Amino acid sequence: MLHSYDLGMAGEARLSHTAAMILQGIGAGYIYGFSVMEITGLPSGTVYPALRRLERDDLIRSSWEKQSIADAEQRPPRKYYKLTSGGKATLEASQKRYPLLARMIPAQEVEHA
Amino acid sequence: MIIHGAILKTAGILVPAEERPEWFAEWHAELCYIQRVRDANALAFCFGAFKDAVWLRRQDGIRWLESPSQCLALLAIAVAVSLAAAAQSLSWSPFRDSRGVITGRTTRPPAGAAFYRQTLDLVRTPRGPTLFSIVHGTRNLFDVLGIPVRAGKAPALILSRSVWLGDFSGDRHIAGRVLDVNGRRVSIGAVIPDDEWALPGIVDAWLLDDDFPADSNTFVVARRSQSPGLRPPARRLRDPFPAFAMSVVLGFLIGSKRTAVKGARGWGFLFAKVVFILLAGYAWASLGTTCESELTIVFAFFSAGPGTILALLWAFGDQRRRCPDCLRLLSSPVTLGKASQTFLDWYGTESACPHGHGLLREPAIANLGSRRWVSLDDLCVR
Repeated sequence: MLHSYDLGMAGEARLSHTAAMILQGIGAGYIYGFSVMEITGLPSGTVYPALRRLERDDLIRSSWEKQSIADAEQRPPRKYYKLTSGGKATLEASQKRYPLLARMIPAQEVEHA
Repeated sequence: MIIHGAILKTAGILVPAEERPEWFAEWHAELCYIQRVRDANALAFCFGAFKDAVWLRRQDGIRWLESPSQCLALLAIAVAVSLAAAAQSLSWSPFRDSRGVITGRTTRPPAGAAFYRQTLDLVRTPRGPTLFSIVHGTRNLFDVLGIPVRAGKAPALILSRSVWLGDFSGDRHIAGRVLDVNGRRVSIGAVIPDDEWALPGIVDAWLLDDDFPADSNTFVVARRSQSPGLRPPARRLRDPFPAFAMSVVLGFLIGSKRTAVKGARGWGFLFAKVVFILLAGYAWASLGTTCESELTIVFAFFSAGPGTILALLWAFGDQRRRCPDCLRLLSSPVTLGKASQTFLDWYGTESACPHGHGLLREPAIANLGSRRWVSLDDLCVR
């Protein structure tokens, strides 16, 4: 350890309300970009840059769905997002800060990717 | 479907090249899902791609200025453009007698003034009917402009050299030939070089007539010596230097506060940025002394005043955000600590040099101390 400071206080990611909603949506199982748009009511110009920021901050992780799923629906494979361990911790902290968050975006059956 | 794809392709131009294929695949896949599975507004969805693309470009843009050489290169380009614009506006007028000829529109033309108007007319040439850009003017137009040509009997058509060579095959016996110009028969009086006409517009021929009707769409050309009462409009922004100098002083006073510079390299980088900004700012401010357009004067005023101050503030702020050793932009800001009720506990932001030279600790409020650079070589290992 090169230098010491209060690790408990350091690095606590502070999310905007929009980012917290998106994180809650992904945590609730809305793992595709358009699904997040539908459940949060936010436009694509807000959701996708927010997804980039959350991925840059290691709160979510993106992956491409299986080709078989895309072939079954006759469309190209979609990118989906999942929470990282850091994202889950941040989501829990956000749910304490925004108590109504969990009620606004209820959990759903996870879309299989 | 085609228009949606075109919108995504257009937005994709803004995305950095190395990220573009994956970015487009993601948006295209979502678009296909929306169109085939969901009944949703695909057009509104596609327009959001521009914001996403701009965000990605901005992230990439930050890396452009990361190194000091890239920053100076961009500033040098901005200075080159500024100096070119200023040089063109300050250059001598192309008129033969630039101090004696004035042009414009007026309802009270001075005595001895010439009039002209530029239109597109159909001319029957040996190659067939052709549209020519023709300046219709009074017979004394070339006299006022100082172009030495004898037009002959009016109405006389004077051809440009390029039209004479291209449409009339350089016919040496062209003088006196009668042409049909918009149904009117006129004789060709002379051929002049293309660059004799120094007023705005590309002209194929000139038609000089004693009975030229002047109206509100007509331009007036006059010699100042023949019209002593005629004065050019007064310049609104005469000399930008006083306003510019005051802005420079203000910019230095405000921006240099809390800016610590280390080493000859750091001072050289700051000096180069300031010089580039001063050159560009004064060049843009000089436009106000030569142009009479309201918009240009407003822009020149902004450059001389607030623009220079903002640019200097950016230069000093940029210096503060760089590593004092390698001059690269600091990155990865981390919030440390928490605000305490007694305001005694330190809390603020810590940024790191991307090359690992050290950490910059910046307090959130001033009474917690000043900014502190911590070299990683100096940190104690615990």
